[in-house]
Amino acid sequence: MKLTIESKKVEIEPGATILQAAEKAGVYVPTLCHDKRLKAYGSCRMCLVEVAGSRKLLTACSTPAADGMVVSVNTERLNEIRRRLLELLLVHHPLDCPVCDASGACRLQDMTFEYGVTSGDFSDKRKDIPVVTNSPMIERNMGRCIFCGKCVRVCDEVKGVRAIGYSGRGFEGSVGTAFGVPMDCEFCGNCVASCPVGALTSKPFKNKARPFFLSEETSVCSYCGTGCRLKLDYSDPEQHSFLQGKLWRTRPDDQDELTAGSFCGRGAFGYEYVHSADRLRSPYVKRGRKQEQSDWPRALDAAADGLREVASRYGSAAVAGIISSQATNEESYLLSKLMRVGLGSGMICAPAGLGELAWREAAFEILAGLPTAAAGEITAADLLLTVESDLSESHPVLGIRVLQAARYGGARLIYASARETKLSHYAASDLRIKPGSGAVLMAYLGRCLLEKVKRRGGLKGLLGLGEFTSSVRKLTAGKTARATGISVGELTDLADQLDAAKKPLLLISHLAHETQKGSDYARAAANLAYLLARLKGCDPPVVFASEFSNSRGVLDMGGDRSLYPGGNLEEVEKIWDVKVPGATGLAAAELLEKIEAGQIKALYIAGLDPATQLLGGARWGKALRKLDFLVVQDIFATEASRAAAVVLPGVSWAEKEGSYTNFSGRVGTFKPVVKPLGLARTEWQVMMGLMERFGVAANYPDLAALRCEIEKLLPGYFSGKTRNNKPGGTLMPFVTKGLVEKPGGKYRFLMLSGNSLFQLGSYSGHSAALSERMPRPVVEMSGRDAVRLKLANDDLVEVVSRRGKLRGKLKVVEGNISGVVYVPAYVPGAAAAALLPAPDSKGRAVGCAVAVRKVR
Amino acid sequence: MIVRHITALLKGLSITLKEFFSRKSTQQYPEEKRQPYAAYRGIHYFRPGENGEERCVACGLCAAVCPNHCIFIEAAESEDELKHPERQYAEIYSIMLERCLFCGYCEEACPKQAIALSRRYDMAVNTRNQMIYTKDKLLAEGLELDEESVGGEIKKTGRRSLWGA
Ligand code: SF4
Ligand code: SF4
Ligand code: SF4
Ligand code: SF4
Ligand code: SF4
Ligand code: FES
Repeated sequence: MKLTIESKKVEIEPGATILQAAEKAGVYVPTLCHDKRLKAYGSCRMCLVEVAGSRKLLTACSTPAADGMVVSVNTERLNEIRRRLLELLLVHHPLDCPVCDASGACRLQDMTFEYGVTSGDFSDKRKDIPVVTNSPMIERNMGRCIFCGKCVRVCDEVKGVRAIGYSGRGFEGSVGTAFGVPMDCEFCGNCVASCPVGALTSKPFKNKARPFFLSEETSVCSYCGTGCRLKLDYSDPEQHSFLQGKLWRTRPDDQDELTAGSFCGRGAFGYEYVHSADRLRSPYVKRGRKQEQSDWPRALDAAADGLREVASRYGSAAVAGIISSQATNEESYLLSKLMRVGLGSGMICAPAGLGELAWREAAFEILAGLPTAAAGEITAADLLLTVESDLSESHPVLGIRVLQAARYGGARLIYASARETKLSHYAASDLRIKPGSGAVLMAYLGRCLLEKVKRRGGLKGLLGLGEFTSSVRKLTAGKTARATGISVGELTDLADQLDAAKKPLLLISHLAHETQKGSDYARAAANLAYLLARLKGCDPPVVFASEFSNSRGVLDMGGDRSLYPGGNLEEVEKIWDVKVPGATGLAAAELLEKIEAGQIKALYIAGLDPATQLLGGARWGKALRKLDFLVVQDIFATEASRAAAVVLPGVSWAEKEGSYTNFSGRVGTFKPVVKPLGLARTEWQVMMGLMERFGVAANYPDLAALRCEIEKLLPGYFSGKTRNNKPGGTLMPFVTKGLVEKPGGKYRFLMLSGNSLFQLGSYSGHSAALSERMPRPVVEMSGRDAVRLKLANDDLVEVVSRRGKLRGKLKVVEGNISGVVYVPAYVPGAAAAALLPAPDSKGRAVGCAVAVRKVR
Repeated sequence: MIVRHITALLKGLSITLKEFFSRKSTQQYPEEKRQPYAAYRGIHYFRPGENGEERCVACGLCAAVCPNHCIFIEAAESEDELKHPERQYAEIYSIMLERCLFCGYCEEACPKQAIALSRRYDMAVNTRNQMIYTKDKLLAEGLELDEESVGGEIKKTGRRSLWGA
């Protein structure tokens, strides 16, 4: 279709609106209520345009463009109307720009200026509506509201939460909750970010900084593996009227194709840890039994000497390194090089938090060539199958994609889980399966597909076929039905739907409910994906959503397993110009056992606290104290750092340059926006200091030089051009492994644990807004169990396992399967890790038997 | 010849005599202070609010308009309704006077008529630090200044009457 806008010719797809056409033509059309994520609303009328031949004025945002239209945007008549509209909006407006957070970035202010509205013909009393401050995180200043409806629509259409709505009419109208109760929602911050004026404001940011003084830098979120691009608003003392540099807020990036301008609570309110008072500010070195403040040269010497001494006394295999999945690619690469070349030890481990087992297995598949689908494929899919994964909680922005595909994109959402969550309400079929039976379900579906692929002759070249076939031969529908708790009819229906779908997509996360996910889970998912790929003739349709911001990058950089950066030992030896020890990396559980057995004597921990973040946390706490020498590099004091011989303070992502690789392999780079706190130094510089002390060549004047070396091993890694994923495809035999610990006797509940909206890793616990929102765990229990135990919502309960206990607030979820309690991981002071057993060497899911009792 | 010399001398002397009895154009500074003209722009001060509140709400417009970047503000939220009726206030406000060019833009930009320039010009100090006018100093200045040094009703653009709205 061709049309003319302001005498510019433009060609567009049928179905596009006039506004979209104008955008393409590069013609500016003023809007107040339009948002590309939302359905057209047409309330503000700012976008009125004249169309030749039509007497009526049309709203550009909601009128479909037609072939041959001649559109004018900037006529005197239209501008006069816009001026009038603005006058009307301003009649009641409080005009308290001097104390309004939006001032300087306010659409109303901008347009008032643009259209030169300096006086008006209307007058009435200005609104004096009290500010509603009773909600956490978000404040509502309804006097400033212009009723564009964006917040209400975002909350409904994008998030599917519907926490806020309109109340009252006309001049009395406002946006609020039913009955004026405090907001109790996901606090994703999207309503605040979408408000074109200063009616909704973020409490942590409110009244603190003026947008026109803030500099902006594009960055990437430091929390989960979705890898949303964020805009960081920071103060630059060199440029504006600030005395100190500070990160003031984060905003979503609407140019990001992945997020389309949305983010989640962690991205929106989780930046405060950067300036937390709990940050480590100086290196510490243990003298006798006490840690003493030190300077960098002495601390680095102490670290190098200590590691070297253990290596020379017990051999280099007695030294190991653990790297956090929130470390940057560059740091991971350097640590991998430092350990392998400097210390000659291959003992490196990049544990994936509580989702360890499933993630390691999936990672193996991914690195062996299983490409994971990008976010765009969620939108394109016509069937979405999520198995024991609640992406809307673990990866909220991917969750948004899923919801939108299910609600507006015509995709069928099949949600199979032991928990009832937001996705259940939007799923076409909501299957409540027994915890830990997702693997069996997927294996069964794989078996059904196998027949179909075979019939169509699509099995050629698929490795491991024989073993897989015999491993699932006995997995009949009846057996699967018993294992999963859903009916045979539902199972066959599911298999048929998968077969019938044109673009099915499997959505798997590694953390929600992960404690019942073992290595068999990831294998079953990969098998199913390979088979679906053969059936549909596409790439394996699976999303493996990685837990942390860099779970995937750490592995790409050789931080774990027998992995080297790029995966090719010979190449690595050529580039590093040394003989690299053939030893393999190891899983966190093996590492733990080796420390307990006294085989590993020295440990370098970069950026995590095993006691609160790893499976078997309680055992980790003790194991660390057994070590001869412990170096901890972290930004906060942790249980590990308190036990360390040398503590090296690191910096947050806002203070350093680096990159994170998201679940689909997209690399997001970021630059420092504030100076490192106190004496803290960027991790990569510290690692270079250590490399120097071990005589490892580290000629990286800057990060660009380092990235250059990485790209020699992983061509095009940072430009995202080549992800040399060879089309793999080896089916793995399916073996159900069961749980390490089963509920029974006194401990009759199975505890599941995963990531929550407000707590993920250690950063959220030091971000005031997030911690206030979830100061203690919310323990979910099914309605039936709650009745039996005479527990009600908001009761304070204690969850006790054989290893530890925690206290939390009870939440009764009617639809959850009984016999299960769900506890969010990573809540400060109540780490689920302390209750969980460590995995065994068989890769069985850990499971965790607990008792629940009321605290009086 | 001589007469000519004498007349020249007398001429010179007459000028001396005339000046001797005419009005003095110098002043005994600092005992005597010159009163600058009404629109003179001197040292800054904060106008006190009518009910003892702080007028400045830390909107930052003065800092934004200041061509020399001498104003530093950090805003915060206050619970004290009397002192800060609009909740937002300047936790830190300081002007580096040694950088200031006394253009008066800050005063013109201020929507709250909080910051203003007085007619005080005696700003010689011993250390640079003393040239940093903090919020306390500006507030104190505002309370101390009398009608004279502030300049009373000033007609210059944007400048409003003393203590007035
Ligand atoms: S919403 Fe905009 S116009 Fe209204 S007070 Fe705030 S900045 Fe000013
Ligand atoms: S609060 Fe903001 S986003 Fe919501 S309707 Fe009012 S102006 Fe629009
Ligand atoms: S979805 Fe993940 S990456 Fe995106 S904003 Fe939330 S925590 Fe950050
Ligand atoms: S008088 Fe001019 S230079 Fe001085 S502080 Fe005000 S705006 Fe800045
Ligand atoms: S002095 Fe005036 S312009 Fe400057 S921050 Fe205060 S209120 Fe705003
Ligand atoms: S943007 Fe079209 S009516 Fe508001």
